[in-house]
This record gives sequence, C-alpha cells and structure tokens, in this order.
Amino acid sequence: MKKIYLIALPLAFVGLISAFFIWNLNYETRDTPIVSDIPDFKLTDLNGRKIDQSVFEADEYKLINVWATWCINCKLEHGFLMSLKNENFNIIGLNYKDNLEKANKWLVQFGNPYKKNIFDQKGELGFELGVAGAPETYLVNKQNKILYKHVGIINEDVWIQKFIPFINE
Amino acid sequence: MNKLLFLLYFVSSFSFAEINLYSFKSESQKELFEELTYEIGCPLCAGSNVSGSSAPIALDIKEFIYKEIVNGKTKSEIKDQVAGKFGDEVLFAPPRNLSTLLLYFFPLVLVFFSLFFLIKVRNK
Repeated sequence: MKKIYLIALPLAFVGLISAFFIWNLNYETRDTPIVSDIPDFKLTDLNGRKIDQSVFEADEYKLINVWATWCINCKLEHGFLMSLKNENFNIIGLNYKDNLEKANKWLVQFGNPYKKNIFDQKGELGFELGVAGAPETYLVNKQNKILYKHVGIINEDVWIQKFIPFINE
Repeated sequence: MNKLLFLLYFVSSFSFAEINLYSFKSESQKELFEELTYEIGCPLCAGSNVSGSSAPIALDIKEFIYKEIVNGKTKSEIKDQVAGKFGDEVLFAPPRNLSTLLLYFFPLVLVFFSLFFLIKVRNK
C-alpha cells in the first residue's frame, strides 16, 4: 500500500510540473501590451509635414503598424494590410528606422495601406512604445489606449483570433 | 548574492570594449552602466544581455541606460523604465512579487521533495 503512494506522488508531482511548463509555453507574454498609452510625440510624416499624437484621435479603432523597407516580413504582411484598408479600417504606419526616399518608393511600388505615416527615423517613438523590431502591430482605441500588441506578421488568422475579440467587445 | 551574479556575468561574457564608447563623470556611474547592461536582456535576442548584443534595439536600450545614468536616475528606476516598455522578461533578475513567487521558490520545493522521497526510499 505504501509503495503505491511512493510511486504515485512523485508521478503526480512530475505531471504537475509538466502541465505548468506546457501552460507557460503557450502563454504569450510578448503580445501583452506593456505600454498602455500612446505617448506625446512630435515627428514628421513621410511628406515632411508635422505629425503628433492627435493623429490617433479620429477613429474608434485603428492600428499602428511598425514597418520598414529593410523588413522582409513587412512585405509579407503588406497584402493583408491592403485588404484591411479596402475594408476602411484605418492604419497609421510607423516607419521605423528607415530611409525616407526608400519608404516613399515602397508605397508607390506596392501600394499604400496607411492613412498616415509617422517617420520615426531614429526609432524614438518606437522605443517609447516598446518596439523591439518590425513588424509589430498595435490596436489603439479613441482614448489613445493600446488594447493589443502583436509581434510579428499580421494575417487573416491573427486578425480574427487576436484583434477581432477586442473590437467586438 | 547580486555580487556573485555580477561576477558570473564577467566570467560568461567578454565584450568589454564597447563600454569605452560611453564616457562617465564618475567611476560609480560607469559601474552602474556595466551592471545594468549585464542585467538587462535584449528583447529580440533571447538569452543575451544588451551588453553582449549588437541588435539595433539593444544599442537603443544601452543608449537609454547611458542617458538615464547621466541624468542621475537610480538603478531600480532605470530597470523599472526599461521593463515598463519591454516587459519584465528583459530583466535577468525578475522582480520578486506574487507572480514570480514560484520562480524563486520552486528550486527549494524541488530539493525538499527530492530529499523527502530519498529518505523515505532509503529507510525501506
């Protein structure tokens, strides 16, 4: 009787640890928005016009999409961003550590999914937002609150599973 | 304990050269910079601290740490600021709170359990 207890207890213990590790593997820490408010900023857009945080105040929901011409994955998600634009969803581009000329050329060549583009050459606003690289996409509401942060490519699956629940709430 | 950890970082990493890029008013500021860049991880490159990484974001964080030290910020203030942007996971020593309780006490629990069963089995 005691022998069973000596085997069962360590087994249960190992099982518990395994469950904990598996649960943690699926826990997406990097996607939880750590920065919750859009900080005040003064930068220019890709045409050299002044732009600040008021650019986010217009619509109920909008996206900030961090992109750059050097970012290969940004090209991969570009098609999906265009389809969001065609559904009249507003996307503010954060052109991150890029070259002004190349960025404008990219938008002419592949199409422009963005309502406005913030030119963040040094990555200052990016740093304030906790941007580690490109692409990253943030869902922002009318009060300039960041509801959700997605690291990596955005596509239809990610959109439906991760973003839509916030918008339908 | 922190000093021991700090020494371990020295053993495991040999990228000192770049520290010379930054100039400090005092030796204590320089030491603080070295400690912070060893204790703050690069959010893009898992397992590497910002001192040992040349990823653009790691350079930005180093620059930020430098500026804040020169502005007179304390070690914990700077750590909080960086974690406030990139998350607790960039801190190599996670803050001790309820959500990280398991992280700190689990090894102890494991040792106790192992000892307990070892003694039980050996007494048989």
